[in-house]
Amino acid sequence: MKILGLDSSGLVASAAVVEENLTIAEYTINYKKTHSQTLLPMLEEIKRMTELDLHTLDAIAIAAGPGSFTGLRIGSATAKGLGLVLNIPIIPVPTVDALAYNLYGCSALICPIMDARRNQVYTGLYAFQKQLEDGAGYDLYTIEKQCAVAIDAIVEKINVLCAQMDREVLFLGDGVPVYRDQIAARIKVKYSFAPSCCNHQRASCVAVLGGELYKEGISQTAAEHAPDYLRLSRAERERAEQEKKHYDIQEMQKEDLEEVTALEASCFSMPWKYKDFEETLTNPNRVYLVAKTDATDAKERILGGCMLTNVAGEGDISNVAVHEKYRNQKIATALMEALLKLGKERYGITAFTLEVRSQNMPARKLYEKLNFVSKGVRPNFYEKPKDDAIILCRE
Amino acid sequence: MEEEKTQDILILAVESSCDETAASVVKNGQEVLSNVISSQIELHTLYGGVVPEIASRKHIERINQVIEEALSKAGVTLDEITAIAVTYGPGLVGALLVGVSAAKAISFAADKPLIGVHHIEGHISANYIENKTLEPPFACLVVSGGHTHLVAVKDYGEYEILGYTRDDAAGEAFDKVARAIGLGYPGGPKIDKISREGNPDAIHFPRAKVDGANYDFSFSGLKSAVLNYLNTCQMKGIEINKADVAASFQKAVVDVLVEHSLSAVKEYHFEKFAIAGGVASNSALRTAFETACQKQKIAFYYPSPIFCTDNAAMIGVAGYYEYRKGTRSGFDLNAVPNLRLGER
Repeated sequence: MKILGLDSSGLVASAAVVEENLTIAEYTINYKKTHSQTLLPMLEEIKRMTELDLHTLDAIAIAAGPGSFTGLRIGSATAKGLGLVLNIPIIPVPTVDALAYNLYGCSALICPIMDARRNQVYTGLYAFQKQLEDGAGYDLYTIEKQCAVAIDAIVEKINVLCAQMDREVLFLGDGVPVYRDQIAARIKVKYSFAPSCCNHQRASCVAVLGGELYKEGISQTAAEHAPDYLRLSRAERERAEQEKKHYDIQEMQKEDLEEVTALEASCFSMPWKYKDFEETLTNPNRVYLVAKTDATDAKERILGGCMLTNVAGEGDISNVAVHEKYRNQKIATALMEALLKLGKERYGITAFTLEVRSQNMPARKLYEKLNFVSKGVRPNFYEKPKDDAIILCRE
Repeated sequence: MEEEKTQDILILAVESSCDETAASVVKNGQEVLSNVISSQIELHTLYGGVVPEIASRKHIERINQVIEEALSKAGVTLDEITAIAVTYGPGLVGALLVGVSAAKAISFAADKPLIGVHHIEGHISANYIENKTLEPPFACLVVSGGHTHLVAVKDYGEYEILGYTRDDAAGEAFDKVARAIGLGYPGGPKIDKISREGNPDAIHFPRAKVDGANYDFSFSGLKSAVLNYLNTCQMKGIEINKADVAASFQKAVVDVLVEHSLSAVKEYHFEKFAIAGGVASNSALRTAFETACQKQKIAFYYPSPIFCTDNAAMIGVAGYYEYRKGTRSGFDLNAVPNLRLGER
């Protein structure tokens, strides 16, 4: 399989052609010209130098984000134009994953960082794990999925993880020069910075990792492909801020059933089904509250929901879900507060219990704030992935 | 010897300079085989104007579908296309880059010549589509949300700017005034519509001149005058008549555009005059120019509304003449957000 790799997500522009175990060409530059002026001329040069017949390409692997919005779009639009003519699929490769792939086989924890402005970095945490078979290679193992966070937040995480795993950490990426001092000031574990030969985006890594992803069935048509920015535009973000209070908390209605079922399915690995929620409507001991927006242009009307079951005077809380797009807006808190109030008023409940995945830190923090305290653990209560349940109570 | 055949020249054109993703196939610079426009206007209405980042994101989601639709509606394959034309400026840089990058990649992979086209040159060329007899030289007023240019079209692809706006574009003034009187976005069509019910002589707003530059425009003073008028009314508790304000404002804009344009036409001895750009579909503007041109025995041209708005057919027409002139762009073609007319 012959794959064209492209990366214009950061300061570097890079193009490569990789066929099976052979990198036929790779052209990377880190210069002040815009990617719009460099990327395609580089590809043209590769074509000329390697007598490449574009029609022999099988797929285009592209660093699909995060990264500079404009840079991502130059790469994506180029890939889409090529895909349109050559009629080949596009493999979207997470930018930060591909950066980590630079350090294949490295035993340290890998932390790529790209400057994301607004005091944030695009980053993630990775480790290479030896494949089981003898002589086989390594698998890239994602510990922290690529995200946009403050540098201190990721360093904090590294401090904990590296101590737990007894590993060092290796930083790379164009965010290093920007955050070097800040990292040095905060880090408490052994660390180092990758040298310039392997500290930037490389299209060959995008192509090779793209090949792996392709085997897992990841590919898009050229028409479908768009970058994954990880961030909303500023205008959208500000509008969301303004709108985030534009919802009402109310009891689920029949008309909400479909959206509630979809919400549940998007939040849980073993979700309740339509008929389960439908049953709730007629069960006098059950209430499902929804946070419902009245914004006419919103794609989703149901932003979140949660369930209360009255079990002989005790309140059992479950199915606490908030639509991914609307998290970190205190919707779950508002839902929970309303649910506790309703439980007391309608059923005279004073004691509430709920279970939470031990790994679900945001949820555990929320319940703690609402005065829930731990009453024990149910080992391996959850499936997909296996996890312990923490039993929380509020009297 | 084989007889030489005149081959049809088919241009595939791409336009993404603002909030419309567009593609078109144009035959021999006149026949529009397809003209696909994917508008984002509803999306931007939420924000009261075009948001560049959102526009760019939408362009990349739509670009392939729009190009593929343009080819299939025209009933031609990429193989049959002679050259690819694309708007590379002026416009929103992020938006332009989507069209430019995609067009360059298509040109590269399909091995077809690439031609970077000036957006305003496209607007002017829109006049050739329906007016088969129109040929340079002529004068053209380009008025849109982002541009107000009075241009001498000396020959195909040869332009001289006679006048331009010193501050707001005419369309921009329409948008701002529309917002001030609560009509919303986009302002042009909304003011045009409500003005039909208003009295254009109800309020006298100033007609600004730029000292020492007879053909330049200035609309920010007019915009301020409208806002002042609204403020004064509010303070005095006088109820405003939106239709009258809109009609009076529109007349002030139209008067200035017509007066400046026609005095340039006269001074430079043009026999033909055309309008282009989004505001060129304003009905009051058309009527005023029609009357004024008739009076001075000047032939008046204007495109249908579909070719006034941002579209790719006009880029295909302009691209055709550039192709004939031998203009070719390299794969390092970049978006130039403030590209000037007549420059490359």
